[in-house]
Amino acid sequence: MALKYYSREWCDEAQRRLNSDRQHLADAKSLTGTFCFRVYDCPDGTDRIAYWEFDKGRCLSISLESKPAPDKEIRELLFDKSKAIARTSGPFVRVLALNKGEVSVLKLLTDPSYKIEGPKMEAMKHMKGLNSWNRVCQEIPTEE
Amino acid sequence: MAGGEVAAAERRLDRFPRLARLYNELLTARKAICIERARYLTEYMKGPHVWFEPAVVRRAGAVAHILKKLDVKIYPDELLVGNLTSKRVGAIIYPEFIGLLIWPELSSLADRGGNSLQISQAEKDELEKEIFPFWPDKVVADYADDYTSPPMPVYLLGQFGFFLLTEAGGISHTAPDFEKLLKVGLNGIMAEAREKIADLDGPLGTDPEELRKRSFYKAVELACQGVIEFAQRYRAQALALAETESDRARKSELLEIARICAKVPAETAETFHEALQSLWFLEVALHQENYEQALCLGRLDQYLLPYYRHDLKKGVLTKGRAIELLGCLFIKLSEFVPLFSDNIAVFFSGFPANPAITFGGLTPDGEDATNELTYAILDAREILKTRHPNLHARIHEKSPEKYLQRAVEVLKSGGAMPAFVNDEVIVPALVEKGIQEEDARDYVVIGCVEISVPRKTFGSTDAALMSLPICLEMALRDGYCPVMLKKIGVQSGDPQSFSDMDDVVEAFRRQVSWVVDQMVIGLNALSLAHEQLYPSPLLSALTEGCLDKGKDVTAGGAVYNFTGVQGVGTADVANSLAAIDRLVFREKQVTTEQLLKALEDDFEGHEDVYRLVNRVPKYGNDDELADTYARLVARIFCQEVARHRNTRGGLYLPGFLSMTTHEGFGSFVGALPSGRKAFQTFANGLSPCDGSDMKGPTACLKSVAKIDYSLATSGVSVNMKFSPVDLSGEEGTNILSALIRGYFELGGMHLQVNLVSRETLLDAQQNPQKYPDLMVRVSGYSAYFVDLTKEVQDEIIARTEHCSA
Repeated sequence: MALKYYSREWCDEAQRRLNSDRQHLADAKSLTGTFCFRVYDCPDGTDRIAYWEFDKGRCLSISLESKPAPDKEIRELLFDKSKAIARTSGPFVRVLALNKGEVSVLKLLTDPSYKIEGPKMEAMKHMKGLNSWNRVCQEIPTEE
Repeated sequence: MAGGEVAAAERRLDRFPRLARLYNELLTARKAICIERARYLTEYMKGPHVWFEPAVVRRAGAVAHILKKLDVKIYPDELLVGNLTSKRVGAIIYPEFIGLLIWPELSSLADRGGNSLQISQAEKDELEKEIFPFWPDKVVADYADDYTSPPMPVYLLGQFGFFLLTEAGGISHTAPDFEKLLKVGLNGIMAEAREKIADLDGPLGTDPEELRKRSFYKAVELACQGVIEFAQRYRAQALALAETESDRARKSELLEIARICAKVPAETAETFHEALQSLWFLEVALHQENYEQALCLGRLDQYLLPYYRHDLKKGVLTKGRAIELLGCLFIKLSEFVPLFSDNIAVFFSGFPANPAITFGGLTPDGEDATNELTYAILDAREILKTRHPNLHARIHEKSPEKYLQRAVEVLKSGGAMPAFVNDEVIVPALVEKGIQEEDARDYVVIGCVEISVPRKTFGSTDAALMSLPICLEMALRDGYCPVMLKKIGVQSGDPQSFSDMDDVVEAFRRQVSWVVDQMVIGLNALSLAHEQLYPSPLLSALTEGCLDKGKDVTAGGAVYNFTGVQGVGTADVANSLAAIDRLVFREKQVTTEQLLKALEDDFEGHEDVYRLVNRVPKYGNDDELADTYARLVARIFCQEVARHRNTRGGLYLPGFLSMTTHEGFGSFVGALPSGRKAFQTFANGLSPCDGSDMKGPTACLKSVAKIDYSLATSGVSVNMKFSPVDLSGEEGTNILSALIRGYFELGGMHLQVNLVSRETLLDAQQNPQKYPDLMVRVSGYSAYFVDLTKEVQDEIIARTEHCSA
């Protein structure tokens, strides 16, 4: 059964898969830290903010909060380096397209609606783990 | 500074109060975005008719329009005028290239650490609402993408770990014919273009080339006229300022500036001041046409010498005044910084733009070219430690000892300039590539370290940078790329089946060959995009061959056409191959399986393997095994690159320069057999890995000199760090001079030296406010230490600090 993208159920399924996928746990051994995602204008009319916490590839927790869009607090929240290595923000359709591998990185980097914050060098050093995380999430049956 | 010769005691900034004031302005100015070029280019390109014009005419029209509209400002104390941007230290936006990468970062531009740029709310709004929305789908890389199907090169470019195609950012890595500009002026060039049109004005033939040529010549004239009008606006501004100036001396200076702007660049330059002003106007104008990277000023001490001598003889110039004028040029060259998005800045840390000046070396007829202006340029550098220009001292067998020692003294005075390049290696290497010997003897260093013949070449000398260790990583996994979690490269054999080093090396070669192919496909597509969308008529006007052929530089108009690409991480691959050779095949202390498992686990739980690999001697210690592999790795890259031709009919030239891509590329590669841990930096340029050259500077340079530089005609970068205490005084100068001579006699091509202690660097990292002007050599260029990312600072600190003994 397909799960709604970035719903609580979808996040729970992502966490379950990440922690039971042996290949992911092997590939993402260096993935430790917290990553933040802000997803705007979700189909149910909400903005969402999620914090994914990893320890050596294991997903320890995914906190998910949603509020009616546009939510000023979520959208104007300053990036806090002490809380997350990186923060990605963008409209639901864009984030979903990225999750599905439907948009090229170069296009994404010139898209003003899509923002990546945080020290880029540190984020790049996590590239293998991030790719592995993305692979696992892409395998979840997902609907809008 | 009254006049006469400049004695050693006078070579201090406080003896040149004008330069001291200008330098202070420069250091205290906050770097800021300038939106003017983007605004006026967009304004022009939104015009109803422009897309129906031939591309070359459209581009010339755009350049002329920008130059007509740019803000005209003359700062106090300036002797040379003409601003690249509206800010004191500004970054130009090129929306048609990679300018759109900053679109998502507009809100955070001022808060990017060392990479910060100021921007006002009004500027931000204009970019977001008026300028940037016009440009998606008109960007050079998008156009290039349409040529590549399947789009593997563009896909790999987007992954950042394989190669960067810097031509996506623009084309400027070249040395225009400033000599011709000074001799005939833009009026002379326009007259030549008009003559060519007149030649075509006979009975219209059926040759379609004639139609193309007509557009080209029209474009040259249009662009040149735009530059002349730009200079006239400065003339008017100087006159206006003179009108209200109460200080008599400054008033007189402003009137002289007005006189010069009325004359050049339209007419022939006749004085040293006029010549400098003329070439500076062109530098400004060329940066409006194409991006701000590494537009080389060439051999200043050669083509400005007649003006210098003439003025000194006539008594209208003193050496002190000449230094002041050169200093003003250095200041103007430092008033701009390149605009990098946060992602890209990782690969090009420290705002490098690298307009370069080369001096010394051989004349075209093989004599020593060192002259009194060479020394004046060195004096100017000793006095004024600006970020730009990047200075390169050419050395040949018969270079005067006095010259080498003076260059070393200036290097020791701080700022890690000049770098040293070896004529004895470079000239024959260029000849082997088909360049006439007298042209080869006239070579310049473009930007960081790239070699090119000035005036006659469009060499796009730093068109791409490519990771070599990622090729080794794929070779050890049959084409699988661990960071991408999929097979990317070609199948090069199961490493467990490799029976000897030949198999390993062949697998590496096949991966290099495949990645080079992808890089070349991407570059050729970008070159076509430049030619068809955004050609460079103004640069063409100043490149020999273009007017004769009636062709833009992007279409192959230059006499010589090359494309330079750089290999990164040679030392890491060499050390890795040496470790495999010794431990797996010679001594059989580790099996391939054990080694691969240790790499997969980043050596965790494999401490025994880690100890073994670290015991294998590394490149940089005059060890035959590691050095042989360094030579082999360099040769493989060079041979694979040299197989290809560019869209202009020229060769691809290989080199070994990394900028700071050794940091960026390193973050995409896991642990290596060399003992380098996962995602750590690679070695910079052709230097040994940080801290691995343990046997002293002589052993290190003997290793480096074993590379076959006849193949690396796009230049190499070799960094060394010394303790400044060790090389102090006359004795230190003698030691370093002798080391450079000895290294060049062994066949070394390039050397640049940092003379900053580890303690100073650590203190600067902790207390950046204490060191606003501490300049260090990065890889091919110098940058203010405080402008570098923390990772690059750490990498420079980690470099071996050699003792002279």
